Amino acid sequence: MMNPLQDEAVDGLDLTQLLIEHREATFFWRVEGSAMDGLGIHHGDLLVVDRAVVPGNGSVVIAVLDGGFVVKQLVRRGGAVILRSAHPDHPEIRLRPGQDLEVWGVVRWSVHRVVV
Amino acid sequence: MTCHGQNIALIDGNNFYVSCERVFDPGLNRKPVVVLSNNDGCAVARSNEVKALGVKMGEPWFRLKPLAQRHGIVGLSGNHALYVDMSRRMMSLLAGFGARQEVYSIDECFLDLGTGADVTELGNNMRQEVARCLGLPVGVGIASTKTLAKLANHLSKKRPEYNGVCNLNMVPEAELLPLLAGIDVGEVWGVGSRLAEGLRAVGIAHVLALRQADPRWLRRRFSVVMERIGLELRGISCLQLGEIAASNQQIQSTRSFGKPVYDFDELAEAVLTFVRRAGQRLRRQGSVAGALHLFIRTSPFREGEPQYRQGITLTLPTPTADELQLANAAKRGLEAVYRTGYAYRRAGVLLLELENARTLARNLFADPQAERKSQALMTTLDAMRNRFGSDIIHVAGEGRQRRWSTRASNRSPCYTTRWADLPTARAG
Repeated sequence: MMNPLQDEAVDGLDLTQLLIEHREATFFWRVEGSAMDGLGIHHGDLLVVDRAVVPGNGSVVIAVLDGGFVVKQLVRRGGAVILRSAHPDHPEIRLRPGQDLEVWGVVRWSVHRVVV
Repeated sequence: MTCHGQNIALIDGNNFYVSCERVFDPGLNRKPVVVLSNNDGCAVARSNEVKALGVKMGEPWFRLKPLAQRHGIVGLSGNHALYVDMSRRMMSLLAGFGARQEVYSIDECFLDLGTGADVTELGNNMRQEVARCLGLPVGVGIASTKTLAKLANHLSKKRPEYNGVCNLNMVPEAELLPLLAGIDVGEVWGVGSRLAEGLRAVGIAHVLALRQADPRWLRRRFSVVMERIGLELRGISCLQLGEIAASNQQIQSTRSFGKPVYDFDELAEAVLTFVRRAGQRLRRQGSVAGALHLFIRTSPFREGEPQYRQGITLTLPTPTADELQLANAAKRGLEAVYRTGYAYRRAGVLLLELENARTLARNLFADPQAERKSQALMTTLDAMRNRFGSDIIHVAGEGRQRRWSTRASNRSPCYTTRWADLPTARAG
């Protein structure tokens, strides 16, 4: 008879296997501010950011804007690039022609701590 | 190139430490930046902007300060944790491009790219992949031997027309010769400044001349090593790719002291700090050490002071990663080598005979239960230091004033290795 307790090849679930697709290119970030609340990204959350992924229309990205890092939704609309927040108090940012945007990485997961 | 067979690549990070800093601080882009050595001593990495200002490698920071003020040079303290983590990521990415990899230093590795006809495109892909995944710029040199690959890498940086990838195997002979004639012999891997002097004295001033010199004559006039360099420059491979990174076979933690140390207790505090650092690195890479080497010494540059240097290697009862056992060994070692009356200015700890902790047979340990307890203690210790910073807990006797820590007045956060230091992005 097989004894399942002796089968040492069974591994428990490892959360990093689920959260990290590209190990070398994945970095953890921290969120500051509440302008992305509408997309489930809250102040203090931990973001799993993948640099190997190409951002699509609507991807949430870490971007370099005016020398600082922001987390925004990247939207392309009629040739224009727009950085959108997910909060009524924060209007979208439309990039001026010639203003270049550096996308640092694509947000794959947001880890939110639940208070006990 | 005459010899087509093998494609050996040397890939290295451009201004690696500075580039790592810029990934997490875009404010440093296009600014002159230097990264400084321990105790904020001298420049160990320079951005292109700083190089253009004429700042040399190894230039002391105090001497740079007037220039720094005039041009707004940013002087950063070295952030070793960040560089090691980014290096690990880069090496892992690059390993996928070749059949074999030799990690040569923190920011460079050799890759065996096989015998394909034109692998230049592979070099371009490496550059793009590392830039995309890590934000780091690299240079790629490809040739038929390691020595030529090093030169190709040098050319990839010096000549903008290569766009960061120089494949000497694809350069026709007629172009190659003037190319090699234009490179100083001192640029050749393994030819230091003294040997370069010696070569120039016999009329060998550039790489082409060294390549054309009779290898047997090079051996008679200089050494076997020089003969090998000559052969490698001709495309005859003499140096094989080593598989294992030398840096993983021993771990060292050493420092020069900011001021001289005379007292045994003070010296012991310093040594325990080194043990703590080395032990953390040992456990992080999942190894145990079979032996520990300790050395202390005065400064050979202070001729007025009495000189003393002594080292001792201690075999550990069983291979271990336990900080307390390592600390005990180090302390016994220090008792053996310490002499009163000297101004000690440098000390260090090396962990040797490293083995993977998991592959080590269980029965090697004298006391499995004590071993488990020690492991649990070390895991807790590392977790707390990870969370609160590496200085939170010390082995007794290590002292509470952090006199031995590196003076790091302008160090960036450990963005990728400490939870408390994660980079932040503004949502609004």
